[in-house]
Amino acid sequence: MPQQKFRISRYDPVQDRAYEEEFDVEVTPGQTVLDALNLIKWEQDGTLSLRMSCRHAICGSCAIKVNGQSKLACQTQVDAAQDRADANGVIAIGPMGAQTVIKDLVVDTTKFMSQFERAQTWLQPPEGQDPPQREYRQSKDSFDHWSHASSCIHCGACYSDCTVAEIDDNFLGPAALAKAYRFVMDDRDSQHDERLEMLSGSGGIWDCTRCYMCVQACPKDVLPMDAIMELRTEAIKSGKTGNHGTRHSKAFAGGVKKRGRLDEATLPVLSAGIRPGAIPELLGYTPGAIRLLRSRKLFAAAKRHGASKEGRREIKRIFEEVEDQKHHDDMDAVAFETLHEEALKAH
Amino acid sequence: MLQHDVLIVGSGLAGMRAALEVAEDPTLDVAIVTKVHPLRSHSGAAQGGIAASLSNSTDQDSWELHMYDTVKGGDFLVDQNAAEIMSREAPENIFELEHMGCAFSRYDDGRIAQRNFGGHTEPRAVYAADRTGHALLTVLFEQLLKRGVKVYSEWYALDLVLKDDVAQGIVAYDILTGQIETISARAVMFGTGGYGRAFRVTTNAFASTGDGVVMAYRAGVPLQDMEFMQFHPTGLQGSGILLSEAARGEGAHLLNSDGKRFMEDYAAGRMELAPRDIIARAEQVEINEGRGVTEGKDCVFMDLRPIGEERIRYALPSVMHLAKDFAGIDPLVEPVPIQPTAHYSMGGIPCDINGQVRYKDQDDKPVVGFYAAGECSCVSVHGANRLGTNSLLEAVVFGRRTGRAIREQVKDLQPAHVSEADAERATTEVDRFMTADGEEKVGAIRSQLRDLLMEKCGVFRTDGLLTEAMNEIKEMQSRFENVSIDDHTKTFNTDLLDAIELGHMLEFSEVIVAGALARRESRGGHARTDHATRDDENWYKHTIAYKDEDGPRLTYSEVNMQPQYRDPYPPEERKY
Amino acid sequence: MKYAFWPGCVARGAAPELYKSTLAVAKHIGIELDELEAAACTGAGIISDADPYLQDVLNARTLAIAEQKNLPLMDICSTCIGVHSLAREKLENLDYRARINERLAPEGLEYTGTVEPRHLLWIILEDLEEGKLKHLIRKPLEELKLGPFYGCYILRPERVLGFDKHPHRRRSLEAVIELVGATTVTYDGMTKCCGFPILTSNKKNSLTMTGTHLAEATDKGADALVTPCPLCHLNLDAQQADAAKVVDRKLDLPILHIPQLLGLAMGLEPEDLGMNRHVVDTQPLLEKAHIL
Repeated sequence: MPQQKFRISRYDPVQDRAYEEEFDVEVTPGQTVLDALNLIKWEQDGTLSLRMSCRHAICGSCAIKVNGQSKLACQTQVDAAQDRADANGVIAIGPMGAQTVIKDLVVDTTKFMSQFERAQTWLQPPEGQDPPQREYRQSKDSFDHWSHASSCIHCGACYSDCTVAEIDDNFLGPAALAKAYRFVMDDRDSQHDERLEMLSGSGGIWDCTRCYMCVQACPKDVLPMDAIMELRTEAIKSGKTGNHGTRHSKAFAGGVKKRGRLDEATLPVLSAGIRPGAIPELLGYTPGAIRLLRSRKLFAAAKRHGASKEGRREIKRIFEEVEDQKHHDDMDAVAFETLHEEALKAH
Repeated sequence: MLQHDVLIVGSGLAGMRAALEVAEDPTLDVAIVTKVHPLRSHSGAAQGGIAASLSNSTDQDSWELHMYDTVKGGDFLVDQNAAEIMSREAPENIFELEHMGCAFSRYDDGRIAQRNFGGHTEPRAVYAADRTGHALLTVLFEQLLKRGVKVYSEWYALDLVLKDDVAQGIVAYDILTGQIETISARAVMFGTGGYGRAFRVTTNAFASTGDGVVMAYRAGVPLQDMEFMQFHPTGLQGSGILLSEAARGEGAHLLNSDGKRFMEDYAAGRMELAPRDIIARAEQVEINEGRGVTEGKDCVFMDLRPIGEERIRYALPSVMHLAKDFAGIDPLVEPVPIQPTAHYSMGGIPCDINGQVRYKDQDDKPVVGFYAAGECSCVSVHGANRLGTNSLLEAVVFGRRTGRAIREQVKDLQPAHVSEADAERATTEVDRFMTADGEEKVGAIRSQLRDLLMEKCGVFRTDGLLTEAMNEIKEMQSRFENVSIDDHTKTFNTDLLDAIELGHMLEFSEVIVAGALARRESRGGHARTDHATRDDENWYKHTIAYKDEDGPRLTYSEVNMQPQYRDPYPPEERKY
Repeated sequence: MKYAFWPGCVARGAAPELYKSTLAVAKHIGIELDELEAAACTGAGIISDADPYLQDVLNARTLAIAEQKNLPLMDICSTCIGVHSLAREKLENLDYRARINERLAPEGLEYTGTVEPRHLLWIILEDLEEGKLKHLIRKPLEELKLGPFYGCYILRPERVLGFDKHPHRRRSLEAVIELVGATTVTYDGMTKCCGFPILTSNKKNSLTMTGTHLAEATDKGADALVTPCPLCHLNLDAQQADAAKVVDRKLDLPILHIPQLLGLAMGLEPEDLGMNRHVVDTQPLLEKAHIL
């Protein structure tokens, strides 16, 4: 049976020492990375420490990094990991990111788990009102729209790969935000507006850098980033527009409506907003602007290139028709439903 | 030396539901001790559904019918007062969970949807796609967060402390630091789950090692009906990973190597929706008689294609992904090889319908202050075989009842105290592993035990095989004395926990085999080829096993035939 | 070889060197470009924050214009290729496609799903005759150690980028660096985010990301970074000085666009590739490579 080399990033808390160790394992086709790690643990080195329980991708215990990407060890075939091994065919194994390592592949999940409390991800039914005798009538459409987001197993793989969580403890992170989405969209919850207000603030939906790491990492197709994006649309619709992200989006769209292309010259100004609070920010753009001038980039940007005349006309028409359509159809909902449907087919 | 009013060991559905109920009284100090984070509990692995006679799908249903299906499904070993109360309280529990926000699947008009399930006459399985356990675990954890209940996460309970049949608390091990702690509590409840890990092919998580059951046993509490292990018919080839019964509820077929729907020969009435033990045996017969599939010929096929792609994607996405991810089979285009897999432990800690643990053979004396609910308990609501969707229900219904009972009774209980001396056994065991340098290895003994039970105490049992099994277990117990581990450090020592868990597995396996050897009949999940029929005359009773010097000492207790609201269902031939 | 060419907004705006070098390299290789003057900005995932349907319509239109010309479509920006590919996935849904085509019909356009947008980086590796590119490399950049910086949307989500059919795309940048004779410097940040999308709403986080990756690549010995995304280029190049302040490091790492890398290796004049239009001076790099 073929031998496979694994290089494991380990940590010994007694000696406070991080080190790498290689193991050779005889792997049979169809075996998972978890199987291989258990073979190491049970037959070679019982000190190798990791969390695991169900071994079929429902408990969320065994999230680790395989070749630098966060995954469930039990859901990752060794064959698939071999495809992405390094130049020498060695599979790299390490603990999750954005969290303190306790020992080997065991990390402290407190920070990750605390985000759910911060985001208040539990149902808040209408206060002072008795629930119905039987069930709340929840429309199938409502349930179908958010139910994929409720399949989160809290494994932390998304948070581990999140490029913002990596550098900012204040960010709620993809899992908590996807869960918040699940409650914003659940018509039994009474805090729709309040949640959107909170989520539009510091550490919330506008701090996501849209890198898709979480969507790529999620073993259950929760599509966290898409949930965050839908929260943005929902928040804007609900009038939570007094923030940078919303102004940025509107300014961006405004520029494209006029000339079919991004209008870099006016974008920063409009994103900051025409308001006293924006002055420090606008002044902050000055060094950057000077740099752009020096490299003669600003002239190019200032030329404000646009689409062809015919193109601009059609683009404007589209903007106006879509704006008009908003009064009859909830095309945003249709757009997101379509996204979910097509994205979930891919597994 | 820690102290709480109420201590709950285990944070699955039963434990969390009980905790929430106790926490309704803000003057009570309740805490949960759990060896894995609550969200990792094995309750989350349940897929198919939770039963209740809501009559959302049919107007033919009733709690009486649910009770009857349960009693018959348990091959009449079910305590009928328990089946009655569970069936009666099911609907209100479902609505309560839904009000908490549980993500149940719906009909177009917004009512909770229900589907068919094995052994249930009417469609009463409430479901959340095919991740119902996960949905329930999630909603209870959300409520736990909302309520702010204290959880000692990744603390391993090592001993239950009783003094003169009164609970004092537990001895626990903090996995992060390696510290042993005593926790005193006037009321101790176990929601510690089942013991399927002792079998080679199992749906159970690594964590399902019967710890609570063994702790009770060692503390002098007897275990009930341990020989009744459910073998779920549709475990994925090799690993035994669960493919939900919901697939059959949606219309999947079981086929042998001839492509025949063989259930026609075993339960022509219900076919693939007969109870699990009947199907598991049918499969085993097909396999034993040479009509198995795959290279090893040790499986049969489950074909999902008759259900249709759209419905599979909507209602069975987990089943679809499990087959793809863990067996490389796409059920949309080909049938999936499956085999019987150890799934549910009908046996456990004997208790009444309020979770009060009792010595059922000794005038029904209670173990004061000690409670149990969920899979680790034996009420017995499942008797000799559990119907699908009744386990999630049991955990919730009896978790709630037990929590309520504790909340109402705890203030009348005497103060409790766990002393340093009480921690001696556990401390000695841990110290032993931390210094031992014996020849034996945990992995090797564990592997041998799992093969042994699967082969000699599995779907079909005989006197010869069971006797061999008992001898081998004793031999392994002796070898276990010479086990050594690699990790001798205090921080997060999983090596140590593996050893402790093996000790538990060796302990309860003996009880399972003893009960199976003694019970000379076939009933529910306990099937013997040398005593192939059910014998109500001699065996219409529960097995009660005490820990004695040289092994389990068996006695028996009566089946409860006193439901409160209707007449009991008399035993009848169990045909589907 | 002829392609419908979508330059993206930034190449015609603040990164004119990308546009210039693309045209120069295409001409040199013998690729004819039919620029989609009538097409609109992809929206970059920012228009979709407020209006996802609108963004999908604009992108369906761009793809439909290419379809109408019956030409394969070339993008030169990671963000554009990502947004186009995601739109394509949604447009597989025929109901949705019908709703979108309603907006395109007045212009005589119809999206039918026959065009597959691809990045210049992939086209170089997939469409040229075997050995043709090797033959064009007159000045191998053997002196240079180059760090790839992919940009999120040319790597994720994998399901829309054709990685199952073209697994080499996972390492496309590294392949091209090898092709031009340079040494690849691998570092953790090369597949991560530059922070551009949050530059204006959370500058500190944005520049922390930028600065961290630049610092890491520098420490691993990179002489420059190469990126297929002009938006990444803006953060990595134009914002480098500010990023250095945020991460408290000296940084001096020039950032190259793909066609600049190819052009230099093919012996084209630096000025024709817009090498003098960078904020971080590329002169020392060109000297190291014995081009200047």
